[in-house]
Amino acid sequence: MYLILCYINNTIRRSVLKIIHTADIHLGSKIGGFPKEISEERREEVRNSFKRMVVFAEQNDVSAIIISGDLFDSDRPFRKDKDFFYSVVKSHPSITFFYLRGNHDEAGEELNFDNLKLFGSEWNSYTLNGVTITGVELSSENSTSYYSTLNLDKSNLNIVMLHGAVADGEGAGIINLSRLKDKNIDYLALGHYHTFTENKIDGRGIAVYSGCLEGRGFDETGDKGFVLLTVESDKISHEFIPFSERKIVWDKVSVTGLSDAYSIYSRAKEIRKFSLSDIYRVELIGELDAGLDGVSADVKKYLSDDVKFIDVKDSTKKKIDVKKYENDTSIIGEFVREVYKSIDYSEEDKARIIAYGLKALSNVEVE
Amino acid sequence: MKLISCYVENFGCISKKDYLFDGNLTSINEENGFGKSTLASFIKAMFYGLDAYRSNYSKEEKLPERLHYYPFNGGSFGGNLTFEFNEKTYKIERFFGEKSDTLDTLRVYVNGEETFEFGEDVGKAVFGVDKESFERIAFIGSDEITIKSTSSINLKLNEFLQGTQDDVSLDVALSKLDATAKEYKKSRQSRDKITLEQEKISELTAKIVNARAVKSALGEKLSSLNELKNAISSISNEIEAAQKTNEQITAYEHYEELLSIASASNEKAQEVCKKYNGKLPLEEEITALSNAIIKERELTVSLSSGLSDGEKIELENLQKTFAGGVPTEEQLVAVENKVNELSSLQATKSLVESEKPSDAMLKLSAKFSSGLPKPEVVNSADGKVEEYKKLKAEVESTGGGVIYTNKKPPLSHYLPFAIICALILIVGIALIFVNAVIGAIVTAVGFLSILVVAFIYLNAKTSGAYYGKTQAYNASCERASIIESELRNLLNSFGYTTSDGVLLAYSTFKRDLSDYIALLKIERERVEKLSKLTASINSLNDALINYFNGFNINQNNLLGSIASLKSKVSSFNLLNAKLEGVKAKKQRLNAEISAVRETISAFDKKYGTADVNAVLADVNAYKTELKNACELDERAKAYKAEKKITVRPSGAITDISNLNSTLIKMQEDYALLSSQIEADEYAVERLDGYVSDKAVAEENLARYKKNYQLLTATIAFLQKAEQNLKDRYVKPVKDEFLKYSALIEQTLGEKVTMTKNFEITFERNGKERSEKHLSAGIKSICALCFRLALIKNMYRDKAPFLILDDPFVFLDEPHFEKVKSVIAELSKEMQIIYFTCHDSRKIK
Repeated sequence: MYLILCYINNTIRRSVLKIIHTADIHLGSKIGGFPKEISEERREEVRNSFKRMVVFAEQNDVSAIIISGDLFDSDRPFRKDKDFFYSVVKSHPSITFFYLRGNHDEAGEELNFDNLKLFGSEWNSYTLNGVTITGVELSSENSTSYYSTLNLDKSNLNIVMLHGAVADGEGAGIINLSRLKDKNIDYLALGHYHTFTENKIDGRGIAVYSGCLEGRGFDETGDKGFVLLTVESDKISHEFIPFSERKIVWDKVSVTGLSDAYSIYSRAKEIRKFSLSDIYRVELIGELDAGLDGVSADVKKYLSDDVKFIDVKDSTKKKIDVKKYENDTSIIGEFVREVYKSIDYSEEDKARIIAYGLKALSNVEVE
Repeated sequence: MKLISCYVENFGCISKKDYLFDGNLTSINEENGFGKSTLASFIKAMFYGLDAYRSNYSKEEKLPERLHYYPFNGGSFGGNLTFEFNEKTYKIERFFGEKSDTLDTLRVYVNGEETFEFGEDVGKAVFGVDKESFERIAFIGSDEITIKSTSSINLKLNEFLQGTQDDVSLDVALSKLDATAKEYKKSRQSRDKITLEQEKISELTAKIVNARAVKSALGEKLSSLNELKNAISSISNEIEAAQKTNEQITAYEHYEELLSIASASNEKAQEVCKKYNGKLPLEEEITALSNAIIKERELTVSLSSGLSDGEKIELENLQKTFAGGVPTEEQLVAVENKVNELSSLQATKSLVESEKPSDAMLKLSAKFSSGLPKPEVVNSADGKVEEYKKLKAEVESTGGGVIYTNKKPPLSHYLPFAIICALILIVGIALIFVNAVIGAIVTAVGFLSILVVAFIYLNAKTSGAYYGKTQAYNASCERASIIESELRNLLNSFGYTTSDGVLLAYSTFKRDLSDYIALLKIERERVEKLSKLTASINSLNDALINYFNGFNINQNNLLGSIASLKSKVSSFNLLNAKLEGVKAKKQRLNAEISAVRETISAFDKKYGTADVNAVLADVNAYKTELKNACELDERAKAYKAEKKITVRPSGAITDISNLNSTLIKMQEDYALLSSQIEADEYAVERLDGYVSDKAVAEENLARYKKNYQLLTATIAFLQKAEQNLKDRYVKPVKDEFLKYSALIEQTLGEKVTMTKNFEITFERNGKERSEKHLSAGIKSICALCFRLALIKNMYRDKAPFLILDDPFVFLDEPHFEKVKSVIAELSKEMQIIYFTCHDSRKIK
């Protein structure tokens, strides 16, 4: 009985094919908007996440990793990044890497490994355990023709790899999904957009952007990871696996009505459970009293103990209640009135000037 | 506000005095030294206290108040002041320490109850201005007239003008803003934020430019690296191909070399074979030859082994020795017997010779060395002995003629001894005084000696004898004496002594003589026997020596000679016998040698040599070369199979050292370029960081500039606001000032202006002048008017008192009269306390 169960289990295992779809790793990419040390750390983390993904593949019986472009960040990748990639490929012979170069990768030198499959400017197909993996590297030369040159066997399970922007119309790097209808695509593994997105192609196929593995700035927020494809019983199912080492979060916090830094800090904590491993930007929005100019620095100080890195951006509109000073015969009233009378400064500047003046007259340190 | 009274406990020159400020005008007209200024200062001190002072204050400075007003006569330093304020009566009670304010005490009472409503600064609380301002408002002295505002006055003025009481310090605010603005930008080139950020941007720009330059050059370097890599790959392939061809050629050459060596070995083997007419001797033939050679050598050796050279020489010598014939055995025995006989004779002779004369003989020989006494001498002596004996007998028969008597020995015999002993005794006694011990001993010796002498003397007296003789006796004695003398002479000549009596000596002489004669006879017989033996020995010895000389034996020892002879005879016989044996053996060996040589000769004849070693060497060389040839042949075949050599590869060996050098150079270049690219990539990798940092820095710079701009704008706006306010409250003060001054003085000129700090300027003769150009008298009028204007504006209907400490000493009469009337008028509205020391300046 045990032997029978083992046989069945093995048969089932053999019949399930797992493939990872990833793209836009951007090895060697700059990490902007952070202090130098965080940027350096993130650059290493991008590399490390790719390595972790391959280890994940190995540990979970994944047969292939398809990389839909932009593995490297530069059209002339650093040698150490190339060496890193080739080293990973070489040291995992059980996994087949299907590597489609994107708009950031360039041919350069190519190493021939048995488990590294490349694509060119014309459609090229490989077969993996009954699944056909087809891809083409888009260029201006094939930007309009690649739709018509794609011929896939209807009876096959077809995965197609492309790198470009899903959009209507035609052009270099444009992927018009409507023109890929009825092309027998089961899964269109896309690269270019850095956020996991899926679009239906037709009744059979689905187009999926895996997104990038790690967010590299405040323009790449949210969950990042890869797509795990499971090919079973002539069917491809997919699942997004959040995998980034840390998440980048951008919260907008309304501070209208708040009168001090701690209240703003408390409000930010109310809307987000901060994690020590993640990177945050808290953007203060709404109206803030002009006297609270520079409050963002205090809020940043309060939050910095709760997170890996915090950036507090003050996008508030500074509020000055001019009417309050209309009948103020003191130097303060004279000052406020004098500032608002001026036509040389914008309202924002006037608010800040008043904030400075009020602080100084209140014997508070001016920053 | 009104002063009511004060009590000065001790303050400067004033001590325990009460002052009552009745009415609105209190005029105190006293002489100098009364303490008018001191009282004025006391009133100020009651409100504002006294400043502490340093003991090391500069002499140029004004004398500190606390020191100035410290009581001349000591005692409690202070007093109290009663005044009315806000319809309440207050009393300030202050006492001061000598130097420090730590010992100061302050108590304020309202309606008799202590109150703390004014806090520590009573003056500020009451008048709304600080001490300095108070002096400028309510105090006019004669020595120093200041017409100027303070920020405290301004504030107070503003408070009234604007109706606010904000405790805002504009100076502090401006100072803070200015300090912050300077953090961003200082007037001079300095380490301010803007400058630092600009420097940072410049630095980052340079880095970016450099990194971009590196980046742009990187592509070319990478291309070069690829080209270099391809070139290395190409040259490596070329080297590999050349190495392969070289290896094949080398292998083939090695194969050929093996074959060549095999062929040479084979040729060498054939060469050896040729020496033996194409056929090498068989092994058994070589063995037979070898054995024959060995046999011949052995036989030849045996043949040469007859008599040795020594034996031959010995035999030849023996033949010469026994040329006259060889002694027979019997002859040898006879000779031996004679030798033994000779030995026996010699032994006997030795025995006889060893018989030496006895000791008695030697003694007697010594006594009679002068020869034996003649017999007649002996006979005469015998007669004399007889006579003597008779004479002796006669003497003895006559009693000997001897008479015995007792007679004392004479004392004189002992006297010398006694004297000596006495002297010793005396010397001893004398010595006692010198040395007690020695003296005692000598004394004892002397004493004992005396005792001994006395004893001997006394003893001799009792035992001594004395003899006397007769006449007959004397005659016999005389003859006896003569004989005795003759005998004594005889005996003495032979060495005999007569001390024991002549008769006894003579008897001894006679006995010795007899013994000596007998011994002489025995000696004669021994010498005779010895002579005979010597003759026999010599005769026999000569005979034997001659005999042995005949055989060349010349030994002293005859026993040795006979042994030598026997040995020679034996050797001679043995050598003769051996000589015969050798002759027979040689005959046999010669026959055997001939047979062996035939075998050798046959081999020589067949192979051209009988040198068995050479033959063996050749045979071995033949075998070795043949074996080598076979082995090399096998090795060549195996090598050929291993290297898969079929035919010689075309071409020749290529020298790849140049290619290798080129490869090494290329690899070095590759490593260098690779390292440069790595460094460049590192630099390029930093580029994004630099760009990002520069963006941040530019953002910072823009922010700093903006902040600076807004800060400076803030300062400007605040100053403008302040100016607005001042414009607003200077005007009323100026108006009041002009109003009052018009009452007193028309000569101030036109266009009197007042700055925001209440500095008065006026125009005279077309020029703007400051109040410093005014005379002291006019200045005092200005001061009064200014204070009145201030009080009017600052306090309105709550005007405080005005203390005038003889300020009008410089005024002329007409002006003073005007002032007087103004003050009199003013005193209706406010309290004025006026001090003067001149009657001419009295107001009331």
